[in-house]
Amino acid sequence: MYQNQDGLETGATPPVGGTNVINVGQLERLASVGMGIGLMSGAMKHKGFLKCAFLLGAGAYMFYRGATGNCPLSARLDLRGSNIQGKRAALAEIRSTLSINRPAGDAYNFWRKLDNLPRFMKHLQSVEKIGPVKSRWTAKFPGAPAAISWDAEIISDIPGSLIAWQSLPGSAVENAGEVKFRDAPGGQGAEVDVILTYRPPAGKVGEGIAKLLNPVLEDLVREDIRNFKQYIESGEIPTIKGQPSGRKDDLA
Amino acid sequence: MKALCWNGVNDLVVEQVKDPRILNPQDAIVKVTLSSVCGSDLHLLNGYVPGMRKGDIIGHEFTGEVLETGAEVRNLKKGDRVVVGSVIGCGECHYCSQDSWSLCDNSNPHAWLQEKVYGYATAGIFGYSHTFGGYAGSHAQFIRVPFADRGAFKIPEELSDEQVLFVSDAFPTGYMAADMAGIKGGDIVAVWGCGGVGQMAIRS
Repeated sequence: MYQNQDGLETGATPPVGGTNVINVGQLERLASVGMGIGLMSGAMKHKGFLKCAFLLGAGAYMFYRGATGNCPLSARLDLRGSNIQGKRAALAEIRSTLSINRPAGDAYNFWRKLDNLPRFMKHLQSVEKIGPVKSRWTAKFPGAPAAISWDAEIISDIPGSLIAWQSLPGSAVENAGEVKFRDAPGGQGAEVDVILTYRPPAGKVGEGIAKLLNPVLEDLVREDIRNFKQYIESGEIPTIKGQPSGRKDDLA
Repeated sequence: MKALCWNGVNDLVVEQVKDPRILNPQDAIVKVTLSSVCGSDLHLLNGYVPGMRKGDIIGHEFTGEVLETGAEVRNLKKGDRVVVGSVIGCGECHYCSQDSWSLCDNSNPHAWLQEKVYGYATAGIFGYSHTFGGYAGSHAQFIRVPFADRGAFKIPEELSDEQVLFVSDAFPTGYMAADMAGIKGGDIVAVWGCGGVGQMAIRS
């Protein structure tokens, strides 16, 4: 069990920024829906494409956060921050959905065996089991001087369909993740949803630099997820690293 | 080995480069016996394909002899004469299992780059820019063939390399056009462009 930002226990909902997280208050939700409708109808009156598109977009966003009670922007800026004292780097969230030409159960089984993760997450060096639900993760990020380690625990595990995990308090990289697996319609493999949130190391790096880093890390994680698909479908991850070329370094 | 490298628009040069080696378990290393110039090599030469880097080895239509196979290659062995498809397919993804091999999800190491250009990535292609995977091409003495069990076909003994060379690219391209046009015996048809591919369409 863990708590949402209002301090309520939420059962199987993992503390990551999924669309099922309600992080907008009731009154604010009503106001959002109203503003959203207002902005969208206002947009219709504009002839200029850019202005119209902007108002439509902003309206749709407000409507979404009001209707669902989920605000990705709030989540991104401060997912659990309201419960936590002190200033910290913003949480970054990465989402990806992809189709895999394998049954959901196979995809789940591969991911659930955590020591498989470094096979497709190229910055991960190892994931070592240290208890029934606890594991020690070691990673080396590009540009970082040394490998870093943190402990995590699985907080939700539904065989064949969901794995959610969270780093333990005091981790060098505070992060949480949720992977959902479901069979695609018509026997066409599975759909996999991945949501990862992490808080970049603060301190010397600072929030400004973290903001620059986030898109790079996002790209890394997206590639990891693509590599997951490639590995479990085809048995390897395509590469050209190490092949010949006429570039200076590669000449015989 | 010697290889034909692209150095820029209308600038090709033969360089002495390192030999290719096995990088993935389903790779094979093939000694190239014939490598033909495709019309689409001209697109590279003229600078119409994004993602070329100085020093890239081009060429994608070829026959050869298997020299070495990776641990997971089952159907090929040293000494086999093969004709290799120019498009690389894993044989396991949704597209490959629908026989849409050129859309393979798993053979393009630079899928992320191509997604930015085309919205969705295609398969990798030998010697055809980093957008299409950046694989070293066949205008060279040796080439690394990924997913070799899928893309390298043994040449029947009674056929020469030259007889099967165009099965690598030009023949299926023309054949597919004829097939998609739904031509039946007795139809009168016009073929636009009677170059290599057009000739193959006529013979299909």
